[in-house]
Amino acid sequence: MVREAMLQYADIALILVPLAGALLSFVLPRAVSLIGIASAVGITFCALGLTETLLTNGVRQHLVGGWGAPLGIELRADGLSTLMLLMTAVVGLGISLYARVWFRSEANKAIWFWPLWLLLWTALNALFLAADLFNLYVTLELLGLSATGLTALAGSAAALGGAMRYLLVSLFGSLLYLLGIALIYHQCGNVDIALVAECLSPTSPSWAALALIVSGLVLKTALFPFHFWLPPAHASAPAPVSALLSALVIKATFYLLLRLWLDLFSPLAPQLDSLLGLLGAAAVLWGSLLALRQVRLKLLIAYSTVAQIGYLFIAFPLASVGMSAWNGALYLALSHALAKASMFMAAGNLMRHAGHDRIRELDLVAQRLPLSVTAFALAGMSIMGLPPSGGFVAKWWLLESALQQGMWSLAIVLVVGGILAAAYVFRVVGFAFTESPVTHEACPIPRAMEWIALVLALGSLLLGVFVQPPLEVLAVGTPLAGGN
Amino acid sequence: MSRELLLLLTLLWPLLLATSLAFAGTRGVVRHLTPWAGLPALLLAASTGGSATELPWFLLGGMLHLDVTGRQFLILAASLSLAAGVLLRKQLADRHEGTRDSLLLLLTTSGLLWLTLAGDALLFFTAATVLGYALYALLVPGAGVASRVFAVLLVIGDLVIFELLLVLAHDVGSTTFAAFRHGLLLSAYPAEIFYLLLIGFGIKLGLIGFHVWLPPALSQAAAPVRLLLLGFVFCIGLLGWLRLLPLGEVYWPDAGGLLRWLALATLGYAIVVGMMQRQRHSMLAYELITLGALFLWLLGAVLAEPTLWPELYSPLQGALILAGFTFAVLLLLPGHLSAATATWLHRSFNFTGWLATLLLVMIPLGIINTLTAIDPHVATRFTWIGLAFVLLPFRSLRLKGTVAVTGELRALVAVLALSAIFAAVHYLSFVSLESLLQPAVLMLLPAAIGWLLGGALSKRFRPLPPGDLLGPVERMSMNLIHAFYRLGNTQVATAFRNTVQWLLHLTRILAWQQKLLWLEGLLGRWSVAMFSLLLFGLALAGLVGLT
Amino acid sequence: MNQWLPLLVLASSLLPGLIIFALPEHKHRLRTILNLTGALLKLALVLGILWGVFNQQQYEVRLALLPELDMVFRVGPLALFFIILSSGLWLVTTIYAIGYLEGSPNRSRFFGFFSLCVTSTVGLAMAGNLFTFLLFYEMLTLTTYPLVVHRGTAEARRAGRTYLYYTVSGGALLLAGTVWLYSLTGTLEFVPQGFVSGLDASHHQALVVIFVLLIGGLGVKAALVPLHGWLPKAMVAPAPVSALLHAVAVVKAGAFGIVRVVYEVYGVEFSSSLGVAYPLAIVAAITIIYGSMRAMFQDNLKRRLAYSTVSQVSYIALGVAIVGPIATIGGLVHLVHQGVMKITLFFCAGILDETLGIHKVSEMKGVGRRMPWTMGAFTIAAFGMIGLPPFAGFVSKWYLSLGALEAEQDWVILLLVASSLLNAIYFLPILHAAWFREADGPWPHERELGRYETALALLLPPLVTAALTVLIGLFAAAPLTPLEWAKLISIREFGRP
Repeated sequence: MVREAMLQYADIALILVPLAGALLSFVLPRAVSLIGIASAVGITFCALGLTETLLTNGVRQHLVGGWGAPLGIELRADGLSTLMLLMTAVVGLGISLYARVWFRSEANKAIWFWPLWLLLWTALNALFLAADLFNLYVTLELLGLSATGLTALAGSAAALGGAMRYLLVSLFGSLLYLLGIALIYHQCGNVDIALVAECLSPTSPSWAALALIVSGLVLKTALFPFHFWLPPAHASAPAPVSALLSALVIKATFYLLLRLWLDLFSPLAPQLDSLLGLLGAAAVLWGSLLALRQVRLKLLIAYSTVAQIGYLFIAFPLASVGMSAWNGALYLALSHALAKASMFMAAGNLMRHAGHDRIRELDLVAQRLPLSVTAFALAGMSIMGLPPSGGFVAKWWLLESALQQGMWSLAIVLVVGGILAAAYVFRVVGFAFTESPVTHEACPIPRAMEWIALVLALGSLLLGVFVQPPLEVLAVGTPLAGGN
Repeated sequence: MSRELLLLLTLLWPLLLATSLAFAGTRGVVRHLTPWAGLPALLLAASTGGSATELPWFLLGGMLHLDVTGRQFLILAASLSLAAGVLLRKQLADRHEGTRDSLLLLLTTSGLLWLTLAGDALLFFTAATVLGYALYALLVPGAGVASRVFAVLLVIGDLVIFELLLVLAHDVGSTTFAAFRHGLLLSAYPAEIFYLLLIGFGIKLGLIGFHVWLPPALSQAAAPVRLLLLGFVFCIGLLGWLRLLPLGEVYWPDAGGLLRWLALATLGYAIVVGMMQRQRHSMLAYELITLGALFLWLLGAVLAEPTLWPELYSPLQGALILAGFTFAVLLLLPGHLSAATATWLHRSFNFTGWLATLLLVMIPLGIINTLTAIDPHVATRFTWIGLAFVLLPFRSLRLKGTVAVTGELRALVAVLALSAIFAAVHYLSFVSLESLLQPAVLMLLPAAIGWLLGGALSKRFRPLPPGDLLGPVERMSMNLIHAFYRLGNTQVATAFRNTVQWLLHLTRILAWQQKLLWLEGLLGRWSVAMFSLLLFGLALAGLVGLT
Repeated sequence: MNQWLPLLVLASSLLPGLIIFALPEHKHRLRTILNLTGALLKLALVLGILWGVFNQQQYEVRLALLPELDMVFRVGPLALFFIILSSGLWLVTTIYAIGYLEGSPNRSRFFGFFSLCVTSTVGLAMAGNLFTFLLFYEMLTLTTYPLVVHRGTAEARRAGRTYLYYTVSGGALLLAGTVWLYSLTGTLEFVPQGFVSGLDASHHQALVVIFVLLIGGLGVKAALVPLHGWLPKAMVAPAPVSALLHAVAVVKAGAFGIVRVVYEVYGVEFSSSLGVAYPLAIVAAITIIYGSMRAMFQDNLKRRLAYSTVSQVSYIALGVAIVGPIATIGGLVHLVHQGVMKITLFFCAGILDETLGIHKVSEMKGVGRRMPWTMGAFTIAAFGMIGLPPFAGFVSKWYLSLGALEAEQDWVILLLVASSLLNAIYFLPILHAAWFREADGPWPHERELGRYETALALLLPPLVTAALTVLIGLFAAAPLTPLEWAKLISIREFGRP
C-alpha cells in the first residue's frame, strides 16, 4: 500500500521531501543533521521508486492538482530527468553523509548548511521535473540563491568575494533567461515546453529569445569564457559545498540548456552547435592548462570542472549523427558528478588534515591519508577518461562520433584533454609516494569522510563497468531524439 | 654395451660431471674425476664402425654422427683433453680455485667431443661456442692481451659462421652436414658461402690476416691450455672445412685458386714472421699456421681437381692426426736445453724435440708421395710448399728453453710422442721407403737453412712481437671505437636529448604561461565578461537570423 | 567451466591484490601466503587452460559493456603464449620481490599494485578484441605507475612523471586509433589474418593513419625509438619492478600489442600490401641499433640493461614486420625468450645492489668470485642475449635471420649481425670484469644475507630463469616449448607452416 502510494507520488515527493526537510531544519536547528540525513535517504528512495515506475510504465506526466497546461503545474519525468534525479540523489546522499561528519566540529555553520542544502536539493529536483519554462525559471532562481548562500558559508573574505560574484552571475543569468521567456510568452502565449515547441518559428523574437536564454544558461553553466566566477566560488566554499556545486549545480543548468536545445532550439538553429562546440573545445584546453598552473589543490579541481564542462558542450556539434554523442555527454555528466564530488571531498580531507591545500607541500599529507589519495586517484581516472570508468565510456562515445563525422579537430581536443587531465591529476597523486616526516600538528580525519569519498570514486568507476542500466533508464521516452 | 649408449655416455659424462659440480657434496669427487672426463671417448673411438643417432628434441633437431674423419679427431680431442687434465690435476685438487678450473675443463672437453661427433651444423656450432668461451676463460688468467684478441675474433668468427650456416640452412631447409654439403653444390650463392666459410673457419685456422690471435695465445697460455688451444684449432679450424665442403664432388676452380693463393700468402708470411720470433711457443704458433696453410692449399687443389680427393682422403687424415700429436709433443716440450746442464733427462727431452721435428717433416713427405702417384704436376708444386714448411720447425729447434719438469709432464711427453710415432708409422705404412728418399733428401736443404738462418736472423733483426699485425689492428680498432662512441653516446644521444629538452622547454619556460594567467585575470573582469557575453549573444542571434 | 576459467585466471591475482591493499603493514606472513597462493593458483589455472587448448577446447567469455561492444576474453594459442610467460615469471618475481623488499616500508601497497599489474597483463593477453585490449592496456599504465615511483624519492617521482607522460600519451593515441577503426569497421574482434582487409579501398589511407596511431600508441610501451625515453629513466624502480617491467609487463605488452595489431587486426599480408609493414621494420631496425649503441656506453648497470631492452624488444616488432612465417616464429619466440633472459639479468642486478651495493658496471670487478651463482646466472642470460647457442636467444636469432632470408630482406641479416656484435660488446666486458678482474677494494655497501652468497629468496629466482634460458634453448625442438607454440601460431596466421 505504502509502496504503491510512494511509487504513485514519487515525483511530487521528490520535491516535497527536501522542501519539508528544509523548513523543518529551519525550525529545529538542534536536529538539523538528523533531518538532513533523513531527507536525503527519503529522496534517494523516492528517486529509486521513480526509476522503477519509469522503467515499468514509461514516461510519466503528473498534473499537480489535476490541472493541465497551460494553467497548472506539470511535472514530467522521462529517462533524462530521471537519470539526473538519480544522480542527484546518489551524489546528494553522499554529500549529506559527508557533510554530517564535516560540520560536526562547526555546529554554527551546520544550522545554515542543512536548510540551504535541502532547499537547493528541492530546486534541483523541481528543475529536473518541471515541464514548463516559467517553473523552470523559478527553480533556477531558487537554485541560484541557495547555492550562493552555501558558497558564502565559509565566511572568509575569499568566500564572500566568490559568493558575491556568484550571486551576481546567477542573478544576471536568470534575468537573461527570464527575458527570453518573456519574449517567448509574448509570441506563443504559453510556457509549456511541448506547446511552445510547436509555435516557435524562425522569426526575430524567437531568435532573440533563443540568444537570451542560451546566453543566460551558458553563463550559469560556466562555459568558457564565462567560467570566471566558477573557480573562486567553488574553491573557497567548504568541501561538501564545493562538491555539490561542482557535481550537481552546474549539471542542472546544463540539463536545462540541453532540454531546451533538444525540444525548442535545435530545429531553429542547426549551426549554433558548432559555436557551442568551439567554446567547449576551448574550455577543455583552457581549463586543463590552467589546472596545470594552479598551486592550490581546490583551484586545480575547480579548473578541472571548467575543462569537463567543455566536454559536455563538445557533444553539441557531434550530435547530428546517432545517439552516441548525447549518450557520451550525459554519461560524462554522471561520472563527473560522482568523480568530482569525490575529488572535492578528498581534497577537503587533505586540506583539513594539513590546514592548507598547497600542492607542493602535499607530500606531508598524502602519505597519511592513503584512502583519500586513493579516492582522488580513482576519481582522477574517470576525469582523465581512463578505463574502467564512466569517463572512459563517455569519451569513447564522444570520440567515436567525432571520428565518424570526420571532425578531427574535436577528436584531437578530446585526446589532448585526456592527456592534460592525466598531467594535472598525477601532479597531485605523485606526492602520495613520497616519504616525509610529520612536521606539524595534523588534524585527525574521521575515517567516514575518507570512505565516502572512496565510495563515490568507486561509483564513477562502476559506471564504466555497468553501462547498460543507465542507458536503459535514459532511453525511456527517447528524450534525446529531438536532436536529429 | 651398445654403441649408441657409449656415444651418449661419451658426450654426457663430462656434462654430468659439470652439473654435479653445483652440489657441495659431490664437488670434491668431481674435481678428482675431471681429468679423466675424456676416457669414454677413447673407448668409443676404439670401437669400430660408424653410426648416426638422431636427437630430435635437441636444439632445432640434432644429429650425432661417428664416421672415419670424426673418429680420428675424436682420438685427438680425447687425448688432448686427457693430457690437459693430467697437467691440471694439482690445480683441480685445490679447494678454492679447483672448482672453476674443473668446470671450465669439463666444458672444454665436452666442447671438443661434441665437435667431433656432431652430425649437424647447429650442434657443431653450439659445441664450438661452448669450447670457445670456456677456452677464453681458461686463457684469461695467464694471458690477458691474448685473451682479449681471442675473444674479439671469437665473436666475429662465430657471427660469420652463424651467417654461413644460416645461408646454407636457408638453401637446403635442413641443418645436417650431409644436407649442407649437398646444398652447397646447388646453392644460388656459392661465392657468398665460400667467403663466409673462408672468414669463419679461416679465423680458427689462422688464415693470413685473421691469424693474429694464435701466436699471442699460444705464447702466453699455460701448458694445459696450449694443448686445448691446439684442440680448438684442429676440431673447429680443420674439421669445419672437411665437414662443410663437398670435397671430391664439387669442381670449383675459382674457389680452389683463391684458396691456394691465400694458403701460399699465409705460408710465406708465417715463415717470415715466424723466423723473427724469439719465443718458442709463438714460433710454434706460426708453425701451426703454416700447417693450416698446407691443409688449405690441399683443399684448394682438390676443389680445382676433384679427382684427387679419393686418393688423398686417407693420407690427409693420417697427416692431420700425426700433426696433432706431434704439435702436442712440441707444445709440451720446454725447448732446447743447453748442454751445460745436461742430464739424461735433458738429453732425452732434446732428443724428443728432434724426433718430433722429424715427424713434422714427414707430413709433407707423405702427401708428396701420394700426389706423385696421382698427379705429378700438383706434386711438384706441393713439393715447394713442403720445402718451405720445413724451414720453421728446424729453426725452432734452436730456441733455448728452461726446464721445470714434473713427473706428469715426462709421462705425458712420452705417451704423446709414442702416439705420434704410432700415427707416423700408420701414416707412412703404405709408402715405400725408397720413394720417400728423394724428397727427404730435398728436405735437408730447407732444414739446414732454417737451422742456420734462425741464428743469423735473430742476431740481425729485432724480434717481432707475437701476433705481428696486432699492434696496428688494435690501434685502428681503438680509433673506430672512439668514433663510434662519439657517434653513439655523444652526437646522436645529444641530438635526441636536445630535442626532448627543447620540447620540455616549450612546455616550461613559456612566456605564454604568464600570458595564460594574465588572460585568465582579464576574463575575470566584469567588463570583459559582460562584453564577451554580449558578443556571444549577438553571435547566437546572428547565426540563427542568418538561416 | 570454460567460461569461468579465464575469469578465474584474472581473479587469482586481482583478489589477492585487493586483499593485500587492505592488509596492515606488519602482516608479513599472511601477505606472503596470499601472494604465493595467488601466483601458484594462477599458474595452475593457466596450465589447466593449456591442457584444454591442447585438446581443442575453446575458452571464451563475453561480458556486455557498451552496446554492441563486449568485453571479450578469449584464450587462443597466442594469448596462452603470453599468459604462460607472464604467470610463470610472475611466480618467480613474486618470490624475488618478497626477498627483495624484506623489511622495507609500504609493502602492502607494493604487492597490491604488483598483483594488479599482473592482472592487467593477463587481461591484456586474453583480450579477444581491441577494445578489451585497450582497457587493460590503460589499466597497466595506471597500475605500474605506483610501482615505478615506489621509492618515493625525487628521482623516482621524476621518472614516474616521465613514464606517465609517455604512456598516457601513447594510450591516447591507441584510443584514438581504436575508436577510429571501430567507426570504420564496426567491429574490433581479433581474427587471425585480420578483419580490416575487407574494407573498401577508399578507406586505405585512413587505415594507414590508424596503423600509425595504433603502433605509435603501442610503440611507447614497446619502447620503439624515438618513444623509448621513459624506459631508461624507469630503472629507478626497485629491481623486481624493473624485472617485471622489462620482461613481462609493460614493454612486452607493447610488443604483444604490435603482434596483435599486425596479425589479428590488419593481417600480415594486408599490412604488407598496405605498405605499413616495411616502415615498421625500419623503425624496429633503428631501435635495435640505437638501443645497443646507447647501452654500450652506460656505466650504470640497470641503465645498460634498460637500453638493451630497448634494443631486444624490437626484435619482436622486427619479426612481425618482416612478414613471413619463419620470421613470425622468430619474433614470437623472442617474446618469451627475451622475457626469461632479461628477467634473469635484472634479478642479478638487483642482487648485486642489495647484497653488495653495486650499481655500476665499473664496480663489478671481481664480483664473480664473491657471488658465483648470481654471476653464473647473469652470464648465461648475457650469452643468451648475444644469441650464442645453446641459449634461448640463439633460437630467436636463428629464426629471425632465416625468416629475413626467406622474405628476401637481406638487410635484416646485416642488422642482426651488427646487433649481436653490439650485444657482445656491451655484455662481454661486464663478464670479463666480473670473473677475471680483481676487486678494487671493499664492496660499496656489503650486507650479510643468509648462509648463501645472498638471501635464498633472491638467489633462487634468477637460477630458475637461467636454467630455463638454457633448457628452452637446448631443447627448443621438444614439444610444448615456446618455439613449438610459436610455430603453431605462425601456421594459424599464415595458413601454412
